[in-house]
Amino acid sequence: MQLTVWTYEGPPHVGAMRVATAMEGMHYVLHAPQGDTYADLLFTMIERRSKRPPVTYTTFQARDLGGDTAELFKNAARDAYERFRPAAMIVGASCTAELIQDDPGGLAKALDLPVPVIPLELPSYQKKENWGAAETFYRIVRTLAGPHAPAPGTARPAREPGRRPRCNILGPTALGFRHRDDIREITGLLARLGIDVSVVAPMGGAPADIARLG
Amino acid sequence: MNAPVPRIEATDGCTTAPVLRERGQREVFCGLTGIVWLHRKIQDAFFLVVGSRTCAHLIQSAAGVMIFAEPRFGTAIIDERDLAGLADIDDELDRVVGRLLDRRPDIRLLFLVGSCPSEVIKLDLGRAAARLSARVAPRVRVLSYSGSGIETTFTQGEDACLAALVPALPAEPAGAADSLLVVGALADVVEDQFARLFAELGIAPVRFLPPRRSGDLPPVGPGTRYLLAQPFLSDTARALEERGATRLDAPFPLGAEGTTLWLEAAARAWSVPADRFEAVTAPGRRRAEVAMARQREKLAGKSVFFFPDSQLEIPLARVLARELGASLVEVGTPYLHRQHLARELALLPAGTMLSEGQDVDRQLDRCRDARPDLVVCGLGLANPLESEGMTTKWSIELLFTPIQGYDQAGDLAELFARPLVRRTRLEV
Ligand code: SF4
Repeated sequence: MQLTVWTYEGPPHVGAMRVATAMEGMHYVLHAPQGDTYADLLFTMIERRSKRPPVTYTTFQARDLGGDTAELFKNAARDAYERFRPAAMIVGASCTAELIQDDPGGLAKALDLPVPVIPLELPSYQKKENWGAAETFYRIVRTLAGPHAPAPGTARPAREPGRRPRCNILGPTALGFRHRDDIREITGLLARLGIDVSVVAPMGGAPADIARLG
Repeated sequence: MNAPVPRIEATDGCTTAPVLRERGQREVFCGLTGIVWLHRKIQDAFFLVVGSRTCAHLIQSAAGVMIFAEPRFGTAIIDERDLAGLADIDDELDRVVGRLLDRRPDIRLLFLVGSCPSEVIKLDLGRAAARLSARVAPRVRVLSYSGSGIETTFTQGEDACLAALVPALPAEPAGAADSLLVVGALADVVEDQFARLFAELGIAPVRFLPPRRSGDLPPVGPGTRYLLAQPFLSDTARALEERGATRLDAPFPLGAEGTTLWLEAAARAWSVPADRFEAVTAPGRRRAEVAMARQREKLAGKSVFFFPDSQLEIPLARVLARELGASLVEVGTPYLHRQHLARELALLPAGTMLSEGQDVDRQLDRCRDARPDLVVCGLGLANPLESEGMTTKWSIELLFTPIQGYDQAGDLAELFARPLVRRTRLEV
């Protein structure tokens, strides 16, 4: 137990929100009590985004605890898919839901949704926001790009003659300090060096863009 | 005493109106948020949340830019060692509290504030408070309450905090004269104005809960008549009644009308003569009416939609409808306490659409369909609605700004008028 008067980093699921909010066509279903919805204001007020973050919270209450919080999660995930029609979803637990051990990943899988559903394991009592963002992006890339990635050690085919070199810019997220400006600046610098940018992610990237990383 | 105010209570308003009950995703703060204003009100109290990093992050985000040199709140963050049983969680808490009190000799009242994680792991903070109190009394009193998101919504945190204070209140000595207790955190300036008005009415003694300093806990007993200054204090009211106090039924002191009826409830209980009541309240009422009239020009005929947030929605909607000429599209409240709001409901225009609880996406759909002129909502919804072309008022401002009483009625009206004016300016 540690006394904290000021915390610079939030919990790891806020890191996951930063990744989901940065992307296009991604939705996050978070098993969490109502008060955890405060995190929306980080994006709508501090970053002044014009849209709510793509996050559905199950907002379970004490009276649900004895009963079926798992059912609540399944309904929330199903409704979120129906309403938002994302191209992929991430699912996970906040600190409180981690304690009730409903296994959001397993529950979401059982729903058999027609899009990739990526379970997140973000240990809230050990890790923080930046770790959560990194882990989330890693899980998304593993799931969506993994199946197409060449095996480690595979030699890359030579670039066709006359084709400019290309790279990806990975890492910028929502609520990142100047991430938007940085992308513009770096893209410009690379262009002057004769290098194209293929995918920028998570910011602005869709699940289909992640699938073509490699 | 005869009613001194002309009243329009011909119908019974929304007394029996149907309420749409929703059970879905709620976009609201948890009760921990109350710490942001409570720690400023009780000036020698410290609020120690026993929770997770999320809880610490929430309070910091809600407190926003208000960074204090020595904030009187903090979080004891539970970590994996506590959960795995590698550390004895009671010992850990005692250690954290011991260090805190060593470093902060100014603290006289310490609240251990429960959170979702502390409740789910069944950490008994009531017992911890008793244990710690025994160790640090009489210098510090330790109490506990829950501000968790699984138990409390936003302002219910203040209710839980005040309810925890009630058993600590001294007993009114036998044979003491009847006293008036004003319950609910008010800005100091508002409290001072009310204290003056009660004194002029000849009502005494008058005390306030919470007090500004923990040494001034008001006594309570069968001679205590209490007035709720806030609509969200159901547990506190129950605790006071267990101590023998009786509630004076009244609307809430918002707007000229609400303030008059609220003062009148106390005046009746103290049998204040009608002419005296009139003489004392008329100047304030007139000031309030004049100040509100200026804003009424901007608000009359405008349609307003309330998302549920603080439980202040119904009294605020009543002011908007009756004193500012606005029309109400939907009045959402996280929780409707029929008994405490009976007088308010009777004053609301009949046919007002009321909703309790939330399914935020469905409510957003209704709001978009209605295209109201003004939406009162939380911080998570405001900018997205603005970007859809709607005009919003942040409901949290209505808690942080002094809005009760005659001299704040104009400010209250202006809080609603300002976003409308801003939008017209932006449009020219
Ligand atoms: S909802 Fe619960 S876990 Fe979240 S901040 Fe509030 S008390 Fe903490």
